[in-house]
Amino acid sequence: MTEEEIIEHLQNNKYSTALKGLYNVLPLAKKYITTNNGTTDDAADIFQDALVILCKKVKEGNLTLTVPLKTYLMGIVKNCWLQELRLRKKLPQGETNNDLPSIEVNEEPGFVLAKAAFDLLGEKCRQLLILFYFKKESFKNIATALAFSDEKIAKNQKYRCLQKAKENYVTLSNNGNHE
Amino acid sequence: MNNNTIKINNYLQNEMNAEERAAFEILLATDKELQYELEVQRNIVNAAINAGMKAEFAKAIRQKIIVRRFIQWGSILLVAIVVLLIFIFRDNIFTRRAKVEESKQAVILSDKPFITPPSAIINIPYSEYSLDAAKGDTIYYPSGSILCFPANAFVDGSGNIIKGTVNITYREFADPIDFFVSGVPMDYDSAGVKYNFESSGMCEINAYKDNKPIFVNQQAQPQINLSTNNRDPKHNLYYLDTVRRNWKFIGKDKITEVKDLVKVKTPEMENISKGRAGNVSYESDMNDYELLPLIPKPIKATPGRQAFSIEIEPGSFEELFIYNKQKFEVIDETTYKRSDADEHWDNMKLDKSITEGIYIVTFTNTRRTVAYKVRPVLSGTDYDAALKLFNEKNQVYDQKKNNRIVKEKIVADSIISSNKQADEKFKADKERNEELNRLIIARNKKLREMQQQQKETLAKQLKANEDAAKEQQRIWDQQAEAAKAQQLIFEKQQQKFEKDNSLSLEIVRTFGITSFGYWNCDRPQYPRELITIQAIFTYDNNTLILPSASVAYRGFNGVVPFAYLAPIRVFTGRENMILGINDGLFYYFSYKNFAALGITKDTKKVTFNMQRAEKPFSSYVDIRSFIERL
Repeated sequence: MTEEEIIEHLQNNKYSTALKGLYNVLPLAKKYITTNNGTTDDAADIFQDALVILCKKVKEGNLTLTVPLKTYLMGIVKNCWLQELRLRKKLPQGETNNDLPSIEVNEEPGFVLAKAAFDLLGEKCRQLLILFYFKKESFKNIATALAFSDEKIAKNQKYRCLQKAKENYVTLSNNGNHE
Repeated sequence: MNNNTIKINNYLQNEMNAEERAAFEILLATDKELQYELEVQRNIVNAAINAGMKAEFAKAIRQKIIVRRFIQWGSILLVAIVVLLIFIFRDNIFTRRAKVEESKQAVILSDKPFITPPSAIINIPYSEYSLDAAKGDTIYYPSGSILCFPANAFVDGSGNIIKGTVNITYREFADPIDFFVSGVPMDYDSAGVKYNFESSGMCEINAYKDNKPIFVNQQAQPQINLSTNNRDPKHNLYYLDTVRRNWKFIGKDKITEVKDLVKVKTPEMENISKGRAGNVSYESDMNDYELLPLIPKPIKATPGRQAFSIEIEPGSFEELFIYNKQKFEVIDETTYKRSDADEHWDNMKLDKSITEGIYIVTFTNTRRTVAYKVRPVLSGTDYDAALKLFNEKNQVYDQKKNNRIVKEKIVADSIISSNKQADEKFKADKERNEELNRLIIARNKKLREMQQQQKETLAKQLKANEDAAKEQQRIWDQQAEAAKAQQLIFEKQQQKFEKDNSLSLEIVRTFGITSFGYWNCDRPQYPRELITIQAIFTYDNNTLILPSASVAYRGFNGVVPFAYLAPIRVFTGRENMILGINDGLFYYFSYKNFAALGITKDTKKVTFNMQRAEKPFSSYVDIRSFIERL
């Protein structure tokens, strides 16, 4: 699969197809992360984050390739892992790996806090918000998928989940966990 | 934080109308808390989208991992199962492999038609004839063979005699090239042992009425006089049973050397000239008779007559030693003086007289000579003993004499009978030979006519070639070349018929046919020098598949076909040639190349890098002239 085809699949939300062209980066990511204080689970998680960042760059038109796409993806993996290590306070600020390109992955503090707040939601709330905002499903389908009695309840439940996430955000913000 | 979630949601999702949106934005511009709440909610929505995207990638990765693991473990499991199965059934697998290969061959062979020419286009063409079934006719084939059809020689499937015009197709197979292109099997199975046929002549004859096959009338069988050059009497006659897929032994054909026509001396005649008749040999019996002892009857001495004893030299008169104590009685006593018995004689000589049983005894000394006619006699008990011995010997003699008389009669009768049979056979052979002679003379005349016709046709073709346009010239040249090649073969066949009765090499093998089909004068052989080798064929260093490779042996008038992958049999110490057709192209391994391989009886496997004719052959004449030049 060519780089152009991978990018086209990402633009068209064909994540599974696009992954076929990028999957062989996963072993490299695992190797990199496991040799830098991480586990294979960390590697899998970071690799997924890197794919999301790549996908967003593609969709937002911010992708400027100066290296092969797979090397670019590995650059994202490296920076994501360094950021994670900084969060875990395991890596001194400013340490880099010169073998891989440095791809900008720094996310706004508010977004990082929002991700944490979202992760604190219950499974059903997370599914509901994903179905509504990412999959853009109707309340009727959401009610069916999540076993609500009707779409009105699904709609109300959505606002409750959103409200809960905001509350989590405020709580996390007040606790200073976003750093 | 106030609860503006629904309003903010409607704003972010563009679900407000213009007025609502304008009012919300006015409020947003001044309300710091609302701005913060909007920012938080926007980040939450983006976090949900981010989480959704990540979940999609996670799902895709899981699927990929599952598929990969399935392939990996599946492959490992499959390999393990295969290894396990091989281990469990290892004996069966390895022992069956050969059987499978054999059965494959068997399937290939059984699925194939029994007669499989390597290529239809190069097969020997049939000659077609028509004749009046009611009258019968004689057909002269260009090889010199003569086919004699008596009147009413054909019947239909119900056995009804066929009248009117019937069509005959006929062709002959004379040498390894013919056997190769025809695909006729040349092996013979006898009691489970495979032999190779060495042929002294083979033909195929078929008959049709209105394009439907017809059959031989067993009361008027056609006769084939196959022209060949092999006089070997060990060759038998075989008919190819295409249903049972084997050659059927029929018997012997009659062999006639053309130059000796009408001069045939039968084996029986030769026996008689040597003094033998049939199984009775009278030479030894006559010898027995001649050796019978001739014993003279003892004679009793005449009382009162003069008799004397003399010493006889041993071995001189065997008949005088049969009886003991014989004396010689004087026959004419008037010539005998009693005083002579007392005189000293220096010599005594005994001679046979002209009368059987009478001797002359002569006594001599320095003074005189006396001679007496005498006969051997016995007296008293000596005579009795002699008479007894005579009677015994005479009994044996009489017995032998009687036996001899009986045997002589048998011999005489046998000679008479043999002479009669020989006369009849000689007469029949003479008639057959005269008929054959007449046929050959007629045939040669016919062949000369055919040759003349062929020459005229060729001349016409050549003349036509000269007149043809340049573009046509190339085509005509090819035709002329083919015609020349045909003419060459024809002339070659004709050489042996140039002189009527001086055809020193021609042998005619005569046999009646009971069915239409393939007839063969053959001798099954399994030469000891034949060895089996695994053959791999290549051409231009690439593996070559020869569905029907055949091996020809120089000096052996046969060819042995072998199925693809089957081992081939070759003669060590003889010249071998491999012939094969693939995709219409002729491949060969020449006698010269074969000799260079230095194959010995210990050779097991050989790679034959075959040579190939440049282009496919268009006819039997084409391939024949090519192989003859090799």
